[in-house]
Amino acid sequence: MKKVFSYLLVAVVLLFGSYASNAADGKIKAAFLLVGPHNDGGWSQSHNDGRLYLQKHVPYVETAYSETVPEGAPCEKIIRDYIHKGYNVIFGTSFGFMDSMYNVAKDYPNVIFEHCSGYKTRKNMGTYFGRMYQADYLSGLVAGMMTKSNYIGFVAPFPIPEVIREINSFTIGAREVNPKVEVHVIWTNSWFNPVKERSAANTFIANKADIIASGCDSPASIEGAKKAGVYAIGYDRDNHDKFPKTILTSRIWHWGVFYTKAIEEIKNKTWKPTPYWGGLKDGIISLGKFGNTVPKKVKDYVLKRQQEIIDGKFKVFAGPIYDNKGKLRVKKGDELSDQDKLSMQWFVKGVVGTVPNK
Amino acid sequence: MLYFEKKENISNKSKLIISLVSLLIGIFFGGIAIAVVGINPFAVYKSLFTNAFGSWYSFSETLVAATPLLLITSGLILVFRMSVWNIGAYGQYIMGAIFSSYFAIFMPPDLSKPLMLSLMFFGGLLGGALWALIPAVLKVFWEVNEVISTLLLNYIALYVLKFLMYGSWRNPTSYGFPLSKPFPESAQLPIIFQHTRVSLGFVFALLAVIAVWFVISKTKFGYEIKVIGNNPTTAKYAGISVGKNIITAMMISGALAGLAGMVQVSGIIHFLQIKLNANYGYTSIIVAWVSYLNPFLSFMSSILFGGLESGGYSIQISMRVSYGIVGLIESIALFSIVGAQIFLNYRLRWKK
Repeated sequence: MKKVFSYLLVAVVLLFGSYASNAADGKIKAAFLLVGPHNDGGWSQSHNDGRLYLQKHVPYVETAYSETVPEGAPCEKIIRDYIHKGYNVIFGTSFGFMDSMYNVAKDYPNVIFEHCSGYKTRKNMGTYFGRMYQADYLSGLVAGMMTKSNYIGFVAPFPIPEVIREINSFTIGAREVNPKVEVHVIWTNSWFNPVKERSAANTFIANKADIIASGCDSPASIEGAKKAGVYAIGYDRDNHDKFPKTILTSRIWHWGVFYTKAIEEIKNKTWKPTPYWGGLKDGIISLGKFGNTVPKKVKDYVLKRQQEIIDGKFKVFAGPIYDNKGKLRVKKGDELSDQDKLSMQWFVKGVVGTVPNK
Repeated sequence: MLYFEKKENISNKSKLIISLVSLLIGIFFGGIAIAVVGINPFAVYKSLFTNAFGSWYSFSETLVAATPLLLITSGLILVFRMSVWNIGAYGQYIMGAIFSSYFAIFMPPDLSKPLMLSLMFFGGLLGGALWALIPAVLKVFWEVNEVISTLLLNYIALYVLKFLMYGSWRNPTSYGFPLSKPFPESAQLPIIFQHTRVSLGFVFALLAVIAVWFVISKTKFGYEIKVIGNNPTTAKYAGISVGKNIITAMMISGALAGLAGMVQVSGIIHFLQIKLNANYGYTSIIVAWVSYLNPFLSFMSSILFGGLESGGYSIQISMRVSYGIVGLIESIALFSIVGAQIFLNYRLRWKK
């Protein structure tokens, strides 16, 4: 009986034992790995919006996605599955996918990998991200002018440079217009955890915060703000229409801009594994609709600054910048280099919180 | 009135038939559940099968998932046969991963590959064995129920892992993510089939199955295990040292679970992290049961459950269903397999 079974097994293997073909028939097949649900209302949905935008605007591409992809071994398995099903472009949209993508990229030199927010590259693996700090800064201006308690809460996922940069540029904006503002930070240590995000928001509100900002993937903190009748700064997607009285403005991703660019380059064989870092000018990020309660005076100030950033006349991280322990980090007349922005591990003055020690 | 009558002899043939029939019943009810969600169950099963066994690549991924199941199950068969219920493979697996990762993280990376891998190999065995020694000693000397102690030690192992990953073992350049340094090339198990992820760990697993079969059928230790399993009091009167046997078997069982942890970090993940798929420790309990504690049947069950896991990830892609569907099929199949065991020992009778 045992023998029969093992023969059967071998027969089955031989019967179906054909390798999935890797060649795409002129079509580019792109797979997207999402860290949360595709309809999380935030980060992952913004990437899925980008995928749909790509699908709509580029005829020769076929796309698919996997959601709630666990970081680590299962992620690697899912990437390999896609490649064996003939996908030849992999977009990984979370920092934690980096090592899995890096591993698989070595084994499949003909497949192109694009990793969002990481720093490891290969001949066939590039990285992409956006200068969200420009929009963070602009939303900080709005928050600084709108707060009355001068206590702003920032719900933050992980103490990685991306998030620290977000909090810093937001704080720089808020304190430019209101030097009394303090931005308080709570780490959730998770990208997508609506329960924790909501409870962090509630903690801030209990401490007299009147504006809640978030760098996490779900709009849970905005719902917390709405319930308590305080303001919130949106993130990832424009949720203004859902919370017209709560959201002052939002920082929004337009990933479709990058996805169409990358796919066109791949089609034209001009793709290179460059670290892409577009800003307001490129349209990969923008500020969302202003809330109903934001006065014209505030809007005008913010829009003027926005134009200055687009024209290259204003730099968010221009000196002098002190960190929250009083040390001078950027001298007057200097600007923080891109390298330093990408590896930021300190808070600017005005942030109440610590970057956890390594 | 319907009643159950105890069977006297149970042949291997009826074992196989009953488990196959119950598996089919499970698949049938699983299919109904899938249909209720609004998906064609035939398409899902077909896709699940081809994604688990349909090509060399899918079959290799099935082997990858089957490897830790095989290793852990082999050990569990030993202790379960003596009616000692080790529920702690989850924790022993984690401890094996931690002990072996120690060498990969802190030894000089230019250590020769055979030396590094041997250190990690024995580290894995030792980590799992020590973690299993605790409940074994508690049971033998103080009669602490091993179901409770092994289960609780699982949580402790997980917290030890978290403590290390958020503390001193975290990679300074991982930006706060709880990941260790990537393992150097010398600490990675060699791949035995090109272009797959099947590592030398699969060979370890095969050897473990054969070794356990040999131990239980050809050695004095195996015989004593059987006697203790049937009746510990008889065993004691027959001059068998029950305590010594329990401790030995528990340590072997723990060591094999620890080795599975080592194979996972060294062969697949290549760094230490909190998510180590330690759930294999629980799945293996089920694998051991459905194979009637027989090493060779456990080989087939491991492949089957490995296929269910690896195919499950893939049907997300090809069928656009959530991974939860796989959990649903798996649990319904298990429920019917375990439920059908009653027909193994009893037959249904009708009395007026």
